[in-house]
Amino acid sequence: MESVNKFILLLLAPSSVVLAACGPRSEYFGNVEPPAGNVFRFTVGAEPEYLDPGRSTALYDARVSVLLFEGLTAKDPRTLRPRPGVAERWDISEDGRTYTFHIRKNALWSDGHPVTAHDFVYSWTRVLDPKTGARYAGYLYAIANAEAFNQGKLKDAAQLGFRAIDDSTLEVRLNAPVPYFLYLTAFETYCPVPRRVLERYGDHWTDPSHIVTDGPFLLREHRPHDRLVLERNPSYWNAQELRIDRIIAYVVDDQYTATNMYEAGMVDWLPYGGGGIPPDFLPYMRGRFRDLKTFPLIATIYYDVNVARPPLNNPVVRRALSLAIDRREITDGLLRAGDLPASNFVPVGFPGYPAPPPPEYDPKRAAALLAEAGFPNGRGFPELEIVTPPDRRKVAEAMQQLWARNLNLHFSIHSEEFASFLKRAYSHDFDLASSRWIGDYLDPTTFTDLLESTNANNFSGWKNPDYDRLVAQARLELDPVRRLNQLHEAETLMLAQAPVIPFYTMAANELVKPYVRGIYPATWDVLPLNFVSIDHQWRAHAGQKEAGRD
Amino acid sequence: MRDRRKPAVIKFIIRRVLLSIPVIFMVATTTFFIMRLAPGGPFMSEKAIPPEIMANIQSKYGLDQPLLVQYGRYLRNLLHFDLGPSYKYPERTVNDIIIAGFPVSLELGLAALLFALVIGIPAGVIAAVNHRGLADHLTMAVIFFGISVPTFVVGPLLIFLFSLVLYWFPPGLWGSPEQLVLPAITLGLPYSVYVARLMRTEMVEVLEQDYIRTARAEGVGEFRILWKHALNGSLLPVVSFLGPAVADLVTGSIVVEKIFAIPGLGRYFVDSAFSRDYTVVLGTVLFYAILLILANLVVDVAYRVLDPRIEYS
Amino acid sequence: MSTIAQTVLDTAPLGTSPWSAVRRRFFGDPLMVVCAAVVVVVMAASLLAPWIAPYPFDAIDLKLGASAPSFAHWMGTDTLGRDLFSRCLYGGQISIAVGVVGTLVSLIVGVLYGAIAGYRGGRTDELMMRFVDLMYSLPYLFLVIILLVFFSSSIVMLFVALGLVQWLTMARIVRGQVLSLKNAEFVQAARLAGTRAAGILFHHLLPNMTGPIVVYATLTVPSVILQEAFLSFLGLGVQPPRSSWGTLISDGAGVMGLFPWLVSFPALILAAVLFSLNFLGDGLRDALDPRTHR
Repeated sequence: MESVNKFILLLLAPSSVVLAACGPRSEYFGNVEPPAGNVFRFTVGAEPEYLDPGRSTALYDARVSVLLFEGLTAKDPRTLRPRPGVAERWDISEDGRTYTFHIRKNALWSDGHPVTAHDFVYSWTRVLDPKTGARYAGYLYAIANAEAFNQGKLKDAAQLGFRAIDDSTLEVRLNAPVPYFLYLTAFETYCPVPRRVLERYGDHWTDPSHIVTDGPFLLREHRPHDRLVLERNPSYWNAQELRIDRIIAYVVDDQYTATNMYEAGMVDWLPYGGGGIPPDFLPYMRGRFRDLKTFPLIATIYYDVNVARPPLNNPVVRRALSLAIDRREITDGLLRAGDLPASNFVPVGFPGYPAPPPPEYDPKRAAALLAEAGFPNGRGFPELEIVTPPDRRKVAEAMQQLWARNLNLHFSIHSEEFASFLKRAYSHDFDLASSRWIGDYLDPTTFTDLLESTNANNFSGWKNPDYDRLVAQARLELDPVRRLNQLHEAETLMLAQAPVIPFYTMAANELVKPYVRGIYPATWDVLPLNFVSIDHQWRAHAGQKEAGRD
Repeated sequence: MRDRRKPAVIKFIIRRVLLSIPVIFMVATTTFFIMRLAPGGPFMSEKAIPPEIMANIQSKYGLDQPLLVQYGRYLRNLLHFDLGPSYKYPERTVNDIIIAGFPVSLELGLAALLFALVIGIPAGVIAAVNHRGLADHLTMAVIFFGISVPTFVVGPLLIFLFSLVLYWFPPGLWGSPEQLVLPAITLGLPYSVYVARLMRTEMVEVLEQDYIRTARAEGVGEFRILWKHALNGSLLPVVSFLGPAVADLVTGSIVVEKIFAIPGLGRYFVDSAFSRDYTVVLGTVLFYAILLILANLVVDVAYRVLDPRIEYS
Repeated sequence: MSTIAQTVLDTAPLGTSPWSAVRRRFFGDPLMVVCAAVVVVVMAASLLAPWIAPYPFDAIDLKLGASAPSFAHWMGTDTLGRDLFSRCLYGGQISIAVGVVGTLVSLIVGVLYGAIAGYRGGRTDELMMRFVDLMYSLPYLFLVIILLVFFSSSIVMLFVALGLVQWLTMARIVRGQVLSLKNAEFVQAARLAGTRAAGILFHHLLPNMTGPIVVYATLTVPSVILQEAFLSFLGLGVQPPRSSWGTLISDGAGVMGLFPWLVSFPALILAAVLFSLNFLGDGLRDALDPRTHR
């Protein structure tokens, strides 16, 4: 075996040079030379679709928006939980439905104008205006009358549930007590935009020569599909907190290129979703390189089961399919990327929500259930189809094998390019669809809402009045403990019916150079970079306790 | 003679330009309908958008109107060279995108061509001078190898060696001269092979011409013969190869732009096709169609000017 | 590749019995024999894959994962633990099928089109060849990509798309041949004897131009195989779990540093086949070229 190996290396002479040059045991992945100057470089992923925070939707949009704009609350650069942003404090009414925000006097736009309550009224009205066509307008539906206005049923913007009492006071009325509302106000969609600039330049207001922002960094240069260059905003109210002068965000959507750039020392941080690390690399890198950071996301990978199609309309069949999967074999045998096997839909990490039991795996019971449903040893079971986007094909192939082995069932796989996949999912045109859900805020409803009868992302088509009732009840519940219990009850009810088959909680894998400080695990949202700094003498400090995550 | 040729050339050009209008129209029409018949739309997202918001977006871009109305409006805008806004990147228009992306592809294409000539011409000459000798066989072997190894093996191999091991060149993106080197070599390699082949074939023939023999007999130095006489005689086919090669290089850079994450027009095109960004797909295809038509026209005119035997049809 | 085809155009054989020259040239050059052997062996092995492949092409072994070449898997395994040797064999079926079928499509369309244009001559010829010129100016690669992206890529779609790109040059070559042959004495004689146009085309003209057609076809096969590989690299080739050499290479290219065998074996096979076909085509052309054996 050893000699065959050498033969191959000879065939690929260049790579043999490489392997020898790298040495078998390097503590870090690639070049660890810090950048010259106080600059921080990272990959943002694909080209942002919008820099306009009110219209942005994608993860890579948010990676830039979070640097340029700040809402009433801001994401804590360490924990991501809401902390005071443009608003220095707020009052919440007893019924949890009215919030009064007090905007700080020293919050300024980058053109010197103060940020006022009127800016928020303008910005939120714009997001909700049907003509804007903001895709994430739904995030504002917590606010009274927002939904009706956005859907054109209410024309009068004055009836929207927010108003400026004076320049520095904003009052917001909600439809229901939303315990995570302060998370929402830190979200991009809730960020203010400068009215004068928008009215002057229209859709092109985010051009570097026009853009006016209120966040920690300023946009200096934007080369589409190449890079964005940002600089510290000296008029940011919290500017003394910033430690970096300049940020270069490279636009790279290819995993291999992004990883190559990190390895070559062109970037200091390869965040989750920032091009990403090729899955093939992970098993090899984990435990080998200290700059690879792995942490669970608030995200679940699961199959939507089309409950309208026999034999999948039978809950017993769906349960059998779920019980027959060895989730650990997928996460630890196949992917080896740090994902956590889970048969629960709501992932770990929600404070106060009951922790899920260990993942279920019982092939014997699965076979018995299948026989009970009328398909002993898979006899008479039709060949069904798994529809998956290309990047989750591997999991589908493993699943195919597991179901064949444990239940003698045969599935075909159809790998569809992402847009076509979504089209099929939305139109319920599948037997099993490989889905993914990333939570939007630190509350289990970001998952439980998904299986309500009316939710457009409920691809399985499962409708259950008891489930809907429990989730609706929880929505109005003021007591946090009772509320979480109701949600958990709903989830348990749902899992017994198995309209979705969860596999695992997705892990993020990021690369952070050893000389970078102030990068923390961001489990559901993008990380603000206020605390980031470069330690040029990192080698000298290496003996001391390493700052940052781990 | 001259007097009769000039109007003929102009007539030829006018004819060709007129003939290309239906082609462009055809390209616009086929592309438009292929895209609209396909599943998925530009505003699909993993997180469902309420149907009301979707309807708002659709009407904002006029996508809620009948297909033929959209088609008509599209053609009308086309007449004004207005390719519309990008659906995926609404903060930019298709015109902005082409203006940003094309110079990058062009620069890459020209650099690759330069590499092809710098490598290909000497290689061809060496092979020809050593006709049927060891150097010839070696050069030809390398040439065949060059055709047989696809760019997407060469590219990653170069990145591997020069970016990840030696840290000499950046593994991707665009903007500095160092970032041009690896992609230009990757893209230019197969073309250097063509050039070398053409050069060798022609040179072998030229070297057997009488005037070369005469020069040799007169005692002119071998280097001087090559440089002064033979090279001039054999460069013509290489020159005529340049026309189609430029067009080929500019469109053929899609794969190289992908490997090196270069913000060129080829990559925009592929990205926009995958994300159903209709206007950008249409715009880039049309732009390339016009570019190819122009390139072909220039080549044909050049042939006709250089070679009087060809008649105008 | 089109440049090679172009040179074929310039070197139309005029001799009536070119095949003796081919035979001489072929056996006179040991490299030609080696190349022919490579093509035959790889093709045969791919066709016989179901019998000689040690494993099914889609047999996953998650516990094994990517493993270096060994006695059990002498080309190693990919990240899913599938045997690379078996996958290369089955991948060859797809690549060769795409190459051959794509070439056949171009052959049928191109020969008929070129023959009709050349034989009818005059206005028809002018119109038909003008159309070919126009088609040349289409950004083909782009249209193929659009077709494949928007109507998910099936093998049939690949065949059609690739074949349709290739027929233009074939049409030009055949037209040129027909033009130069149609006034030859034996054609005149057949025409006087009352043979119909189709008869003349198939019985008199086509048999006399097999040389250039075969040469061009030989050179088209590697070109189509390479284009399929390109499309695979863009994620538009055959869909998993099936694979072609192109998809194997593009999967392996990214992990070159970790698992070098995953790219080197398929790349070597592809390069060997492309090299051989190009070399054979080139040799055939040289043999058929009156200028090289004066």
